[in-house]
Amino acid sequence: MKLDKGLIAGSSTMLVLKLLESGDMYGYQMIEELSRRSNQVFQMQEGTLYPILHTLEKGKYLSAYEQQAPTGRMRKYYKLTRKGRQLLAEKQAEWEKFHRGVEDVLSGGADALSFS
Amino acid sequence: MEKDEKEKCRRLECRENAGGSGQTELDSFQWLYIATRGIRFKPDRAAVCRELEAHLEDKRADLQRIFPDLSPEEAERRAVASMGDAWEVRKQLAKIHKPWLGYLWRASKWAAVVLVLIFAGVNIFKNDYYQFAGHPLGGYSSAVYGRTAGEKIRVGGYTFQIVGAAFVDYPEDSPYADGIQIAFRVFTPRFWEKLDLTALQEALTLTAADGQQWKMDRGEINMEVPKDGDMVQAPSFWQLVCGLERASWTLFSDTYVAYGDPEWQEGDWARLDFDFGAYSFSLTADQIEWVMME
Repeated sequence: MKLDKGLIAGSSTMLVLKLLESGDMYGYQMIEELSRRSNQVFQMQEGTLYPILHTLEKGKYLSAYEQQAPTGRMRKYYKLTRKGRQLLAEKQAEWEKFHRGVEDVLSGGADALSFS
Repeated sequence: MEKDEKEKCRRLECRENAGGSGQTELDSFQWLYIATRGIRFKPDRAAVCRELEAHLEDKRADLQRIFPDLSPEEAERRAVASMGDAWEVRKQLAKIHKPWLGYLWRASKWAAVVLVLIFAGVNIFKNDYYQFAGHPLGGYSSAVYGRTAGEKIRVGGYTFQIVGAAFVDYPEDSPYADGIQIAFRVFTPRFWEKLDLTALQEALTLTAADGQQWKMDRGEINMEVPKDGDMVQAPSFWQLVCGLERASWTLFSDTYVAYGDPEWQEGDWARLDFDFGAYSFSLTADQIEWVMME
């Protein structure tokens, strides 16, 4: 089943920040890791990752450095900054609130049990 | 860039100007060209292009590793397809990479270089000894500061401070004359309004413990000119015995040395009297250090 693109787009910033929480990564590695961790559910349009990364870098949520790959090609690695960690915490709290809200609506309301 | 690549770019530009959207299949060069073309600042565009190109190559290599039967052309086609709509990526990247930020950064670097050049030019021009006597920029090289530091005073946006004072004693057989040297620094944060040597020479009088005084608007030079018949030769040595010179400078300060030739006594002091008209003040160096020259 293919997911609605909007569902991933809305949470893509949080997902990118979360991936980098476990270590520095370059763009392609993030796409692979995202796909692996989501059991191939999140297959994003790979080019759209870079505007997200560059926006976060410009906002100082990420820092970047270049490192040579074994193939000799230079790779740009991204690293989560302290400001980025704070944003991740906020995004996660926001997501959990949203997730609970959606769950409540789908299950018929937060106090559905008390009316039934 | 190869000729056929330029032609591809030209065709892409035409389609883009006609308001086209990337629905047709692109090769990796075309995809990269479209996606990064909206970034107006060239160094930024090149860096983003390198990053996306590395991604495409990683993807292509991975596909060929996973599916060994895949032809290189098919691997490239699939890699490009996985990147998504190049025009959409282009729109987003152009929004993030604003050209004026890059140009502003570049302009500020040039402005800094021009400022440094202007400042260095002004200071070299102002250094009279560099102009007249051809001495190195550090000024007259015989200045000896000694360890004696002295008073500091802040007047009219300038800070005057004695930074060294010495009585310099040359050996009997030296052609150089003994004398006191009082070094003082004039600091101002407004570097464009630094005092010049002439203004200080007119304002300053050096007074020694024995009561002798030297007005700094005139100098006394000790020099020896070898004679060869009627021909005048270049001086074999040159020493400022009494007078004022600028010895060194930084962006916000100049260090001057005032020279005088009193008789030396242990524990002697010397005083700098400044008279600028609106402001007059004195700085004293106590217990001047005695420095024996070899």
